[in-house]
Amino acid sequence: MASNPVNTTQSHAETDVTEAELVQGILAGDESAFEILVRNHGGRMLAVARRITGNEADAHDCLQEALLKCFTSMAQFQGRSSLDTWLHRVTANTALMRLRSRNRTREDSLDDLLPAFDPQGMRIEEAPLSEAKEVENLYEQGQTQAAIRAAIDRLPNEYRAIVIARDIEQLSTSETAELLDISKPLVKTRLHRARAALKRLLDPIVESNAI
Amino acid sequence: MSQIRAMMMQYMPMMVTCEEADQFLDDYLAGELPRKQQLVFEWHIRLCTGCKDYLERYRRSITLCQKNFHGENGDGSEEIPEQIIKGIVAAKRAAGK
Repeated sequence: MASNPVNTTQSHAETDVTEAELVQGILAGDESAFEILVRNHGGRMLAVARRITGNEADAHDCLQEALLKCFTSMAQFQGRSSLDTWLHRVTANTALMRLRSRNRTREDSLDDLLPAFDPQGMRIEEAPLSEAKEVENLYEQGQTQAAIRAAIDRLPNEYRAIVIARDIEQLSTSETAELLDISKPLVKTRLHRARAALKRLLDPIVESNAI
Repeated sequence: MSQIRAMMMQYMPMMVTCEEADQFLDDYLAGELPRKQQLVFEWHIRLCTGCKDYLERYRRSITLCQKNFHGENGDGSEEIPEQIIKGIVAAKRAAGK
């Protein structure tokens, strides 16, 4: 492809190259290959970035950053996974790092979502949560994905990042700690708090959903 | 009755309170709890219906997030606006990469 660059004014359908050709083109530094990468994979990458950052402007910045990273580090793509999987990973990591760099929120903003214990350390039964109403309404309208994302969006950024890295993107504790530049014990503590808060927000769905 | 149970969990060997058991949750779900702590945790869950129910809901809410955040069919594609494509291609050229 490097010796015969694709005409970038061609229609979308004409950018239909094989994954191997695209990778070869990018490795050869072919400019037109970059545009094909953007056209063929950018939409999916943008959707991932939007879901993780929860913010349109950040998602666009993230997409650009991730695509440039992919172009310059394509040599690291060794074909062990599909190109889509690799692009997803780069985009998700870029979006998570962006979440990390956002302003920190007050840690106690989660406190009202965490389990409570009496002075003897016994669990106190949780009362229905008014904050879970929005999530429940979305779910009742058949919008399960939107309901789940609304619950995750409710978490402060530092918790959102952890729960997405560990539970959604399936990174290990060590990988998450390295990516977000925090200690492993802090990853574990925040994951526990984030999961507890999500459990509380998702209780109405969990109750009516056999998983 | 609940007072007796609280005292048992606080003071009897191999027993932990709900608050202490709560700290074991993630390692238990990851299968990373040392054997002795696993037994202690499972013993607590057998005796405490509140924690048993909590564990089940906690586990199910994690699964719910995993299944639904990106959607069951992967990332989901969407059309990318031409303006964004042009902006990114121009930014790359400008960066000289």
